[in-house]
Amino acid sequence: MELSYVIEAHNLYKKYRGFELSIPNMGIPKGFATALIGENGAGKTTLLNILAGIRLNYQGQIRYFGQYNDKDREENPIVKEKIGYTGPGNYYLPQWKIAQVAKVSELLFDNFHVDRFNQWCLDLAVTKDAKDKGKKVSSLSDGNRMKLMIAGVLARDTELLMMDEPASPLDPLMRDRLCELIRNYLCEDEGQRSVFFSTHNIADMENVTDYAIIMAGGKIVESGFVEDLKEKYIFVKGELSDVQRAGEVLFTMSSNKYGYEGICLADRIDQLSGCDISVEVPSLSQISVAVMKNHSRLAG
Amino acid sequence: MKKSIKSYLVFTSLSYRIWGLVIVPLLLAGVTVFGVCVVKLRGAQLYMIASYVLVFEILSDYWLFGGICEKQTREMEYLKTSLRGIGMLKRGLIIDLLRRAVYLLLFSIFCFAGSGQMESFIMGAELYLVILIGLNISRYLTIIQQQLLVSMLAIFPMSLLGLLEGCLEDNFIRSTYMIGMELTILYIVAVVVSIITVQHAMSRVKGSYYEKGTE
Repeated sequence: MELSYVIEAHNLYKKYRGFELSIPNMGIPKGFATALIGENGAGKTTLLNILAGIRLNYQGQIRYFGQYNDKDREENPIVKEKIGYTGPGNYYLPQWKIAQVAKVSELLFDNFHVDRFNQWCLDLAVTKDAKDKGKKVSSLSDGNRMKLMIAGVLARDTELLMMDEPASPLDPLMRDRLCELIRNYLCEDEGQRSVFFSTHNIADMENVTDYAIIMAGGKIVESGFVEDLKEKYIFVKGELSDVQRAGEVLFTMSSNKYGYEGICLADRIDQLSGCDISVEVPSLSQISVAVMKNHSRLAG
Repeated sequence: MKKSIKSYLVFTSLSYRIWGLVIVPLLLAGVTVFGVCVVKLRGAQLYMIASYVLVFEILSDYWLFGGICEKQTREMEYLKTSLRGIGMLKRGLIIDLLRRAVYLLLFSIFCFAGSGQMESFIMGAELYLVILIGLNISRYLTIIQQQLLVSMLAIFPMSLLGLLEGCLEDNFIRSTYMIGMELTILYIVAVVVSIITVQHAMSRVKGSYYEKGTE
């Protein structure tokens, strides 16, 4: 099956207050949920803001839905109509009430459905009844504000959701619900929809992630389908007597008086031949931490 | 025009529409009529009522576009997720100024009707200009006490204009032609300052697309 991309970017560059974002090539596969993973300050929000058109000072080329470039994004309303973006910071005007958010959304987007918005607000427990629509956005907790944003984008007919740290302010139950919502969103249109979200808490979003892009220091240091990454990397456990030899092979290693464990590339496992080891398939969270740590050590 | 009014209304809360657009303006209209028809305020004395209008118009903006020029509040990411967002904001700003101009013109008409003095329209135009200058400053402020301070400080230039008006009244008899010329100049200046006010707010909002310090 040929892979198509909902967003492709080339030679993206932005230097801002000592931070440099430099991405020669990247693609977000169509029909999948892609996680943008990185530690705080890796450049996830910077990248998302550029792709969503929230920030315009950058260099490079971006292609949307296989046919529109970033100039089209700023001139042709259809591009932003197809994208549902949620982000941190001052997303809504604080004095807006929930009912006003619906009115504004109707003016901003042709594909916004008020009835769906109201239903989502009820389903996500942002509102309990019609009276709650008079609540001010500024009076909502961070979690409820995120749920309101999610209700806003799900009430539209979009082809791409771009979500900046959607899980961060949510409680564990709602994070699980968010994963369910993402899965349902992707399933509803048989491979035509895509989701791109950033997270520094991959453990909670792992079960919905199909494709991962790992960033460190403004660069993409690893990317690929999760299944492929789990074949590329391996989780190793071994005896304490081999810790020195293992330290030369593993990206990350932790050791105690019983032994060591860590992540390495699967094709380097031969370098531990003769050692008493056990191997496991690593989680995406373990892979991400290992890759980010490895990049940080090299950079340091 | 309907779209523009809708764009304006999305920035207004129900409380603002009730208090800011109806109740307080009606109260100020009542005070004006009382002042002009019962107390028989004339000329420079009318600047006292104008000062109440001035404080109200600047302070009430806190609940409308308050902080729109300040970096932290003007980011309004949601509006940027649609190509229509920034245009909607601009239409809202324009309608807001039109609303103020209409209300101040009505204020001038009440003063003129009660006093018979054409200078009432000069006072109305000066009031509009002082309000706009005040808004260009207050829209950087996010705390209501700061906006109250700006609205109070704006009384000083308004008072000076009132003093000037009083001097002119006492020492000159201005012809209708001279008042007409003065009004024409003031209205042209008002249009220019209105355009600057909208462009200023829009440039601050559009500036949030571009982070400072980007090379």
